[in-house]
Amino acid sequence: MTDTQIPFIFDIKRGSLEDGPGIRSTVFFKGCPLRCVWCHNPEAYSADKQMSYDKKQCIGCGSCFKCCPQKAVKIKTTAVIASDKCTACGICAEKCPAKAIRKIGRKYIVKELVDLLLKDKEYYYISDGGVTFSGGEPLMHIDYLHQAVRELKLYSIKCAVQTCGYFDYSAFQEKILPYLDIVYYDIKIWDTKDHKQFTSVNNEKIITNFKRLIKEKNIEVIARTPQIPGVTDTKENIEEINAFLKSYQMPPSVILHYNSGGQQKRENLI
Amino acid sequence: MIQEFLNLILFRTYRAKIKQEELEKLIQSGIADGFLELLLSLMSLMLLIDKEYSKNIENFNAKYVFTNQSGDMYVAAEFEDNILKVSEKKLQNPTFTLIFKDERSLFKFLLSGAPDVLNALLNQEIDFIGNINYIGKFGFMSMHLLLLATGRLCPD
Amino acid sequence: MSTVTLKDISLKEYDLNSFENLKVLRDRLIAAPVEICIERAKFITGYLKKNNQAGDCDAVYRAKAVQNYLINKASVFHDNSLLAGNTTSKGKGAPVYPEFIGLTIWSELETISKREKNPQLLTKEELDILNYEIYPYWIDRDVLATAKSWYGNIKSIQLLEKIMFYVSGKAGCISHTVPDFKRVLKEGLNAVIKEAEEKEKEALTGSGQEAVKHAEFYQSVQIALKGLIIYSSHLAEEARRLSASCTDEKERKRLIRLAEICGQVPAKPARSFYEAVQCIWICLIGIHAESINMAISPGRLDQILYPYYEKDMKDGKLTIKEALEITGCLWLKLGDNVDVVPQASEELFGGAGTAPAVTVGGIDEAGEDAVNDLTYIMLRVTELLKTREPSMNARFHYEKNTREYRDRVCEVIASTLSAPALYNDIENISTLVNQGTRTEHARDYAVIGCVELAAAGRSYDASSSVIMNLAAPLEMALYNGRRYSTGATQWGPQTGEPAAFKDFNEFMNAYKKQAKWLIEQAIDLNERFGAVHQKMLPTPLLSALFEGPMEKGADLIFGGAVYNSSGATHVGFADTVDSLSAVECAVFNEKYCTFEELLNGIKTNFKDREALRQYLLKHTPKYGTDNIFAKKNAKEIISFLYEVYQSHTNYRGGKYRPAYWSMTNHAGQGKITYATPNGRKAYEAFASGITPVSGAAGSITECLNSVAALGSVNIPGGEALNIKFQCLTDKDIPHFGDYIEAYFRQGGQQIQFNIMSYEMLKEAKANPSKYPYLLVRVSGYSAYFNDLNETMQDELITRTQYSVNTGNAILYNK
Repeated sequence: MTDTQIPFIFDIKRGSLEDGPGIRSTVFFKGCPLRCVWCHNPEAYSADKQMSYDKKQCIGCGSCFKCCPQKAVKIKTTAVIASDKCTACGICAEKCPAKAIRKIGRKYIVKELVDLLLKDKEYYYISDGGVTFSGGEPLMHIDYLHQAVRELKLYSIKCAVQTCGYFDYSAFQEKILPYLDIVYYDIKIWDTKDHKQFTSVNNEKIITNFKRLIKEKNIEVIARTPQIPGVTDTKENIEEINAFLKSYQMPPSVILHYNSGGQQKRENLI
Repeated sequence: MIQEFLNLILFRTYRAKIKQEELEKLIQSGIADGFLELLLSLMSLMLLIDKEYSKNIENFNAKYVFTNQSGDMYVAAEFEDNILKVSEKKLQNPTFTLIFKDERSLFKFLLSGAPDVLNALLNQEIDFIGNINYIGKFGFMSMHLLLLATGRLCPD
Repeated sequence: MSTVTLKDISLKEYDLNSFENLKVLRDRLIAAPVEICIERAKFITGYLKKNNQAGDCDAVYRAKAVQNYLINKASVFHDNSLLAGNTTSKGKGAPVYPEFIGLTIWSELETISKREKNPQLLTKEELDILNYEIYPYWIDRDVLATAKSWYGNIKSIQLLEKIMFYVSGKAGCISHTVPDFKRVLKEGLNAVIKEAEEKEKEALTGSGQEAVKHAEFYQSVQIALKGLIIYSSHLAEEARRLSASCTDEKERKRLIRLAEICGQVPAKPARSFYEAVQCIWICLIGIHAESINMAISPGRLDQILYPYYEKDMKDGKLTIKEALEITGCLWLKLGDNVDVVPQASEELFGGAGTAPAVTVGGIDEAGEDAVNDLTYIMLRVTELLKTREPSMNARFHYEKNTREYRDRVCEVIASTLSAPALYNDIENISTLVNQGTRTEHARDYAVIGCVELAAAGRSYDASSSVIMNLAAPLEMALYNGRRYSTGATQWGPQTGEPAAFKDFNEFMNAYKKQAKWLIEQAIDLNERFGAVHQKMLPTPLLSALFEGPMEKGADLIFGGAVYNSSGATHVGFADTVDSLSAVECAVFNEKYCTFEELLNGIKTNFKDREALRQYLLKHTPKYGTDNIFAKKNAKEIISFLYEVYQSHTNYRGGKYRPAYWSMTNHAGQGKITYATPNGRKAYEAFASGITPVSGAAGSITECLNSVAALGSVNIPGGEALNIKFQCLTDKDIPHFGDYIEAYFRQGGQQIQFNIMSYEMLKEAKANPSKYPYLLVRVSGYSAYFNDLNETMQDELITRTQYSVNTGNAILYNK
């Protein structure tokens, strides 16, 4: 896999009980075809690397000012960074002693990622846990993900994905599905116009993919809906989604409580 | 010599009371200069006039040296034959030597609570040569005077 | 084969209201002020003053003094506990041991009753006896004074008195052991006395010094044990006397029963569960009468008492409720004594009780699941009472113990918020076998005090022989043998000025040289103290309650135990490892700064050098993460210290065993150590035990994996890994157990928890009345949060807190 084909991963959460059964590690990929206005991981929108700056950690030492090739930094007790000038080259993040500036997104070659995930294999085995791939949209990176899940399966590690449903089904079916145990499938908004308004895409592909997925064997599919006040948590939306699910003999959608963590992250993005 | 004579004879109770008041004032002011001299002179008086207090030095023979780090302050306190003799005599083989940074650190060490004791030892405000039990005993005797002077000694 | 017969192992149907008195006794004990007790000091001193050794050998002289005390010890019934006897004359007493640290409170005798932190009450009458009669006798005779008079002001003693290098346990105790109760329960002390009598006769027919020593030992055993039997008979008499004037029928019955029991045990065999428990308690009183109690640990009570429990249950003579109540009374009795603590020691040992460790679970000598009904009864009692004593420890063998047991232990931790601690049987057993313990004996291991490992009833481990500040050799490597606070004083060897070092190896070697030198000083001192103990403080009573001495004819202090060792524990491990890694990375690998710049940084406590400090804090390798340098350096220090210690044999013929627990020393020593290269500012507490520095390990699995990677074969003295979880709900319990098991499966040796959040602890500090008896696990032992000094409370508050849901470390916001 060439360097350009390796996706950016912006976080790997270890020892989590929140992203599937048992104790799991969760890998968060950068890049998403949707632009949900409520997203609590806004750094995941773009598949490219980005910079994040937490003013609270800044000690005003001026290292970033001194090294920035674009002269995008000014110092007024703390650093002020002009996002229009920043090219996300990352030099300032390397120089910043307090790690107030950070690079969001790191490339792992598959072996490196798998080795890291395997460090917690005892926890997965004992708790019937495993690895969850999330993001962003993990299924934007089919080839990379394929190599990772195939490798993990050799160690009998159970894998899950958290998806928004907007992906290339054939590629997924061929390269990911055979190695997967669980799919957490977001069905956010039933009305297609509303869906476009709040996520920037309509939900046709999402629903079509879902209908195909639930016909597959040896895969557990769990529908989920994020609870966004006034948007997704309306009586209508929930009823329509659940009626759809019922018609396919699926249980009602699992409600995900609203995570407001996106706000501060948005502010910190350069 | 004169001091010993005075101690033995004149107005001991009265002078002890005056010194107690001085000690209380000193403690409240927080200025430790002259603390050691005051403490020892009060102690030697009290050992003469307070029968209970004097039991502390029954059959107790020990020589203490108090000196500061620079060496320009030096006091010898000898407990012998049931009295305390304070002088500037250079003692050979003292039982216990306490070396303090300044009188303030000595005061903190002897008469404050614990954190200061530890800090005093470790901030090099205090150093010592000898068996630490001896300063324990001296500390008891000093603390007793402090409690008396500040009215905090509670009868049982 | 499982012996568990309980239908509900959580014994939920029994709570504190199920028992008449347990709640009242418990509340009274916890709320009771500590009273200093001089009874023992008075009788021991009185005897020694009067008799002046008069031709007796050391052992016999000592035994007679102890016997004299036991014979005159007051038999007091302070409350209506189901058990008779008290360590001191008070309900909750701090006995003065003038042979050890009893004189350290001399200067505060008149203020100790009113001091702010942990006052210890002293009556005027008792004060006067201490001041005028007891202390003057011991002023030149306690262990430290004796050592100084024998050896002069040698270097190793100078280092001790500076405090900031190491603490030498023997100035204050040996204690720290697990006695054997199986024999006294089965045969009674009369049988032991008879054996001693016969063996004494036999030894007297022999010739040579050794035969004489044997005879003396056996003679001293008889004297000491007779004293204990007489004390027990006095208890019986007093109980009988009180019953005669008793109007309450239930009360009268209780006293008559106690009179019967104390007439039977410990002289004769225990015939019931109740008698067995009472016997153990009286033996502990005897052990404390002889010498100071610091981590005298009852051991595997669920194993030792099981045969009596099983028989009584089968014969219908005992109910579960009664078993719970009797056990509860023993638990409370274990808290009836604390150590006298001078205010200065609060910084280093603050809030500690005597840490009597009880160990449950694990496997038996045959290697099979040893969990039984009593294991669950004891866990339930611990869960209900939530007292500091005993220090509860649960052994877990992940192949032989059941998941139900594992999860039940986790439930109790979630309920008590901090107890029990967990021990990995597979690792600990193999570690002990590696130290020369027979496999069956290793399988029978129990915990001492904090976290140390004993072959129960067979090994004399003196596990607090050395408590070393690992940052001391670090400073000496940085300052060419000097310490920051003492300027030009040359303490250790000259290892060179680091500014001239060409590579990291030079610095690591300098560190090792300083550490080795300091270890040798500490060992030298321990050996010398050992000789003082041999002369002054043989312990025939304890020796009689042990496997080995009676066979060998030698007191424990002369190597009588089956196995011998000395424990040396270390404070500041994580900070030291991180500091070495910081030097390696910042100075040599990344060349972020020169060594001189680094030294200037720490010498000024990073004044105007915040960028440097931030770099050291955030860019250098941290133990607790996967970073290869951090892992390498951690492993290197662990193996190096192990090699150094194990190359030394102690005065009893056993090896030195390194350990990594710290009690509150990490706060105390941190408070007196200047800034360190890992970015730690001057006077901040170190990380506790073997735990990574707070904030270093971002996720719980990373943290656990790092500690597990250290293994346990090089940590034969035991370790304390302190993990804080935010909170645990019922549904978290199975996964909580999974974390622990996965950690054990990777080689983790020990783990203990505080299930509390930053907010909760901050609140408890600000409003103590809101959390009156909040039990926290410090670093090896439990303490009530309110008893801890401010530095220690702050250290607990700022310890990394993990979310059990996300696995992430939650950053502390001031």
